[in-house]
Amino acid sequence: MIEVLSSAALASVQDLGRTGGLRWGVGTAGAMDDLALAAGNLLLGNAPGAAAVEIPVFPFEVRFTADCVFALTGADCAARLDAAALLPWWTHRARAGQVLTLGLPQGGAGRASRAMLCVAGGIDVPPALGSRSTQLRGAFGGHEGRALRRGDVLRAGATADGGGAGAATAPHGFGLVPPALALPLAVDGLPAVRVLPGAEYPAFEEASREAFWRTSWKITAQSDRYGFRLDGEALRPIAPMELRSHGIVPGVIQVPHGGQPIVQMRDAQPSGGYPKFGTVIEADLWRLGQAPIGSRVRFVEVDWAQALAALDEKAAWLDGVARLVALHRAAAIASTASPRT
Amino acid sequence: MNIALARQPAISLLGTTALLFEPPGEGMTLPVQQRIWALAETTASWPEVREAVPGMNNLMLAFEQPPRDLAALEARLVDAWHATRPLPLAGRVVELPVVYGGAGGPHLADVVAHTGLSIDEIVARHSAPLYPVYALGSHPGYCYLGGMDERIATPRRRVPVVSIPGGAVSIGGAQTGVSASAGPSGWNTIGSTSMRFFDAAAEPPAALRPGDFIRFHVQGVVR
Amino acid sequence: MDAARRIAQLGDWLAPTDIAVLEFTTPDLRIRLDRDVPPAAGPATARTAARDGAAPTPGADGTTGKSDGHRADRPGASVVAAHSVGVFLDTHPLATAPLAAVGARVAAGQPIGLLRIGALLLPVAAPSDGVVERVLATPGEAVGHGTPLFALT
Repeated sequence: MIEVLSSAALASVQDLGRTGGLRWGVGTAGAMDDLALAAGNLLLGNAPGAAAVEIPVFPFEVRFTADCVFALTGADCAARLDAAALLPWWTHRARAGQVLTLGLPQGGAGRASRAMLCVAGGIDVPPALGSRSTQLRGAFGGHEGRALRRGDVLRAGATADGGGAGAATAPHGFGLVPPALALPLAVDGLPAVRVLPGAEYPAFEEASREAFWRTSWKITAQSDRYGFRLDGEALRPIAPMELRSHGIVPGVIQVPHGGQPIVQMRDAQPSGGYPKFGTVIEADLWRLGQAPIGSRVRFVEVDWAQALAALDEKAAWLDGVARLVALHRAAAIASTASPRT
Repeated sequence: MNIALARQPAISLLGTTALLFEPPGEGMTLPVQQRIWALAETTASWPEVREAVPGMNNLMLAFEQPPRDLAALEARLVDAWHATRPLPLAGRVVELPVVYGGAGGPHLADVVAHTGLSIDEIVARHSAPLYPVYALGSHPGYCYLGGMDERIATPRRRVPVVSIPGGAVSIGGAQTGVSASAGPSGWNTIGSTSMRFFDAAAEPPAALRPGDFIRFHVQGVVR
Repeated sequence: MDAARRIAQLGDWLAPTDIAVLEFTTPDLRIRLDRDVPPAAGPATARTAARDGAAPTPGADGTTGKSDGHRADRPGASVVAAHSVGVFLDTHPLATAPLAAVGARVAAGQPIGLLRIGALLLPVAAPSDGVVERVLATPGEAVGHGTPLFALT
């Protein structure tokens, strides 16, 4: 019920990621902004981990081939449904034949870089190893294990309240204050993410360690779902290190020989051998995932307790959203279901 | 590199998502790996652990939920390590037919240049051992192998290749491996094989597991 | 769902939140649950309690607003009133320009303002085609059900 009109857009079907496959060399994949995915799904009455379309390159166009209720979260892309401007972080209803156009992300220096298109019932592709996320290396999961192309058609699943695929009568026309505003994190005016020092952190020169926290880092053009290559002061180890291959996870900040760090992102391979300076905490991966190419970020050192507190804060925000949205949707459904005298 | 100088295992954090356990010592030996497999079996059933993932003489524990009391988990892990006995070597032996050199082995000449050995010597030394599968990682179905002959060790390439196909047989430093799907690689590709290492629809999806063995069978040599 | 079960369900939803007032309205039923929550210090008290206090009332699916009371400023003008408690906003949190500036021509159903309840944003929709003549409430202030928000001509 969604036909992709754009070519070579790097868009892909993602959910919250594929777990349990590390033993076979299968990484998690999943949405770069997991918070936008979960919130968009909650707005539609979906389970938070339902699959959606992640869009990193703009403009991007799809045509709805059936009536559908959908949500747009993540980057504010001055979206239009045919000629009508759409509010961001909002739920909308499309009629069959309408075209959704996402333009360039708005918001200047603080803008996000990826949009999530969620549909009532979730994107319905066959799960692979328990997830609908696209596994690019190995080409499975998501839509045929690859990025979307012009002409691809995606279906929506049935909704929990039995509204049928896409649930074109589901409540819509409301939205959320984006989490970037509700859970702000910045240092000296730049977006920041929190980092837990890694195994090889003490093996770097003191000056390098200080520079990591005190200076800003630019996200270079050689950045994608596999990893973000950062540009900044070279991080120097006290002595050269050769490590054995070991498991890694998204967020791990590796420092290869040249000293320019690479932050492993959602499509990171699940093992590596470079020194680990630290790991961006799971609770902040969505923030980094939204940082545009060319933008600068700051890193903040935290400890275990602070990292757990950040996870709790993120969960509490989602929980609050789930409750408020459930109340509103239930009331909206009840009022349309009751006969009027 | 283990910063801790004591002969205790090192435990480090991978964010709040996982921890990494590294026994003391610098080598990559099979007896240590057999104990890593045993530790993986023990810890896989712990409630905090979503997956226990062996690496090369190390173990990553991916959390189900990050534990509030990290110190207690770490202590339990060290105790479990001290209690492990090596798992016996009871895996299957898989023979892979390899065509060395030619279009499927574009860097064989670089290995010749670095080692000073002839093509035939390199092929003989590469295909002689029985290679234990230490761990899976890197990409779906990829096997980290131990036991390569040191004489054919060749450093990783200065400029990685953007894409080598699945089935590429390569040497990186002192290790050898076979890629399971197309992707970038900094290793030296000396031949190709046609084994299917991973099928998402199969149960289990990976053809090989830690404890299995690979033997490379010389199907042909293209000079 | 009967009233008793609905009340129990709303109570369950309400209990773990910090929402102080919940109003639930359908064409045949109106339930209001009030709860004591510790007041915030200082003059912001009333605003805080109302800002995060009330769950939305339904009836609007977001595309048709209701006008309660038609205190028109001049002939032909109509008042758009809040259909729920919440914090009134004239600009989307991500935008710099208001949804509908004074003097702007608006279409029926077009969102011209927002009501924020916690993280939730509800639209204030123009009930008919017209021109925004005046903004009657202060953006950022808590409003109640029926508070006049816009005058349209």
